[in-house]
Amino acid sequence: MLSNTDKARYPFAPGASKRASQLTIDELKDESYSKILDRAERRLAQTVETGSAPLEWDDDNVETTSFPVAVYFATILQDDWVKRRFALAESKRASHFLLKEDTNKVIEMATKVFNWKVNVSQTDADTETPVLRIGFKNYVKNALRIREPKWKLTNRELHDGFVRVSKDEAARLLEEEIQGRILSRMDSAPAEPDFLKDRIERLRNLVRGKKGTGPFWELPKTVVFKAMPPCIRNLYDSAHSGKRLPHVGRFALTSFLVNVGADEEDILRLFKTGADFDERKTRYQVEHISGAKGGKTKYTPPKCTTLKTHGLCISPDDLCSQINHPLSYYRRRLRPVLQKDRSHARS
Amino acid sequence: MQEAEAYVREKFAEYYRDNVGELKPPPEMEKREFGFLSFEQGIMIRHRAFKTPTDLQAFIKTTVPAHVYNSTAYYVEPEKEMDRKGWLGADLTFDVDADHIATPCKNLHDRWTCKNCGAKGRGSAPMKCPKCRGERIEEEVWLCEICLERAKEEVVKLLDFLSEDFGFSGRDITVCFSGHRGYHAHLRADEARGLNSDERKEIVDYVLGLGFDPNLHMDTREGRADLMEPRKENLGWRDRIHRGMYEVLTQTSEDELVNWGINRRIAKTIFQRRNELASTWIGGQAGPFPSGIGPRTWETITQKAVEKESAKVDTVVTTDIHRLIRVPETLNAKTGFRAAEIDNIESFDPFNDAVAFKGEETIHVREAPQFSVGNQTFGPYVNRDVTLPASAAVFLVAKGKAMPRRS
Repeated sequence: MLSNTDKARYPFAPGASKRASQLTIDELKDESYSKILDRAERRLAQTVETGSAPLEWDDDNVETTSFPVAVYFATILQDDWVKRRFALAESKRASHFLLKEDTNKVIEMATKVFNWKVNVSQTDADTETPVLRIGFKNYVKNALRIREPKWKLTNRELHDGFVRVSKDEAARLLEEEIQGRILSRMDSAPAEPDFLKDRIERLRNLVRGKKGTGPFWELPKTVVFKAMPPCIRNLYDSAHSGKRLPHVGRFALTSFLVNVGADEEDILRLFKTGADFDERKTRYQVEHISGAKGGKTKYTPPKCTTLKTHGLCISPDDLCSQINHPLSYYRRRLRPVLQKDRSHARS
Repeated sequence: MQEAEAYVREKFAEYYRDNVGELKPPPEMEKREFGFLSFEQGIMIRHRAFKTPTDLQAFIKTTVPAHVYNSTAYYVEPEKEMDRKGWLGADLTFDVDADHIATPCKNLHDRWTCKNCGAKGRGSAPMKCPKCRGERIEEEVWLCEICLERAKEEVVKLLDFLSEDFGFSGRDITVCFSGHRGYHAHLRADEARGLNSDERKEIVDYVLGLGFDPNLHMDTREGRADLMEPRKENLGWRDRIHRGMYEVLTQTSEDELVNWGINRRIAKTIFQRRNELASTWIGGQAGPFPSGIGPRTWETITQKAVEKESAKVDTVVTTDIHRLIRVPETLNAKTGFRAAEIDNIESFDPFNDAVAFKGEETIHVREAPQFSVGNQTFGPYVNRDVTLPASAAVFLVAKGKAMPRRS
């Protein structure tokens, strides 16, 4: 069972805050909630400002109940940057405590709070700690978001559907799970009640101030070939010479091009040399990917790991090791180029 | 319709008229999308749904499609357009195809033609035409026992990954012949149903051994290659790599090692001491290994071991959660074979167990390499009339190697 301190540490656990789950928005108006509202505002404000959530508190109950209220505030702000920042900071906060817990507590969190499949076997002779294995589905879902090679399933001990992890690794995976859960709680778009107006406005100003300071620049309007990542360049050259591309390759190339400002006619012309060119079909595909047809959503190219799986990651260079999406590569390559242009214009 | 196509269609019509009742649609058929490729100009009919086996059977019998597919996915409303179907989950599906496997026999039975300069060659099509450097190359592929046998080995490895490593029960896996050059494995388990595309990708990467990092499994510094954490149980890839290393070390010649980019002197040492080296791998014991065999060499050899142990599956089929795949027991118009459900992959022989047509047919064969159906071997034929078991005749016509004879 979770103690009051546990609940304050892990306020996202179902049933952590009985008070909050039965709470209506109107009740928050009551004077007795002002402490909770203050704490919730502080919680979110600090996250916006510093990127991390407060690790200390006075009153367990206030701390626990302020969490769902802070989620509520973040949801009202309707800003994806805030949501992501908040979910990340809160999951890091939880992970800070989880890393200090003993194995049993970590297991309890995984099984009771998140319904993970966990298999604990006899103590390992070398380390004298229980051997922990978690269901591959729980493992994969969360490890996918961590980039280091040691998290890749291929590099793990996987047997009979379970992946062996250390206690600290389990805590790290829980952090990802918590982040995902918090994000999914901020999907709706609630109305903004009058009595919260001042608080929300203060937070909004804070966000504006924080986001406004970042460097701002736009991608150039036309495609800059020398900024293309090697994978896309390779696909482009193949298409250009009339070689038949696999479907995934075609999709990666087209979606990349529509995202960096190529127009549909240029893309069509590129595929025209292909042995199997069918104008009607190609036009449909290009329009679909650019969002002009069908779902109306503009598709983005697959990320690096997906391109790797399909064998499309060809001769990666130094920059490739720092990014995980072909569009990030393009943006990064262009940044110094743009700066150079600007300084050139100034002189 | 071309004469050859009309002939194959007629044979399909006869087959479905008599046998369509035995066709077993996949479980929960009412939640799946069905697709059909017609003989007429290869038109694709998609977004069809059927409530009962009888409805589907009647449709196939009347329309006689060249290919019949169903979605690996389950939908709320399978007949709606893609964005509005309401995805509920999907089988975990694998496609193993001889196309992805290098076999020596491809030099005997596969051909390519450069669409640019007309150059021709044998084996798998090169990336670029060796004559004109053109990249527009047309491939003509054949299926033979050796290729299918290699594909089978990949399926066996895949099944081992699925049960040993992922813990799936064999009862949840159905293996089918694709009707052409490969096999499909359909895994239907609650545990797999809700997996998203990224999660499936991770499973594909695992069976392919993609991202395997030797440094995480062994200590390759100072020329040693012992396990980083020797444990009683070495599970997952760490176990497979041991077996793979053993095989690679004992089966590779000195020249092959050199071909992999290993220096001749080191290759000689490895080859001479291969048995000793291999047994330390199986035992999972630390070196000491001969000096000069550095981390780079070990990484090269490990990569070969990964290739040996991995199951070569198609990466797109498994990761596409809206995929259409051939319905088991329907006919494949590329060959006329049944996409037969397979009980025992080890003993399955497509030329015997996947034939659909009875009786004999006389056809005019333009050119065909030697091939066997059942226990009989046929060909090679050049430009002559032959009377063959119906399945072999349809196969040659479907492959474009023969024409029906007007009787």
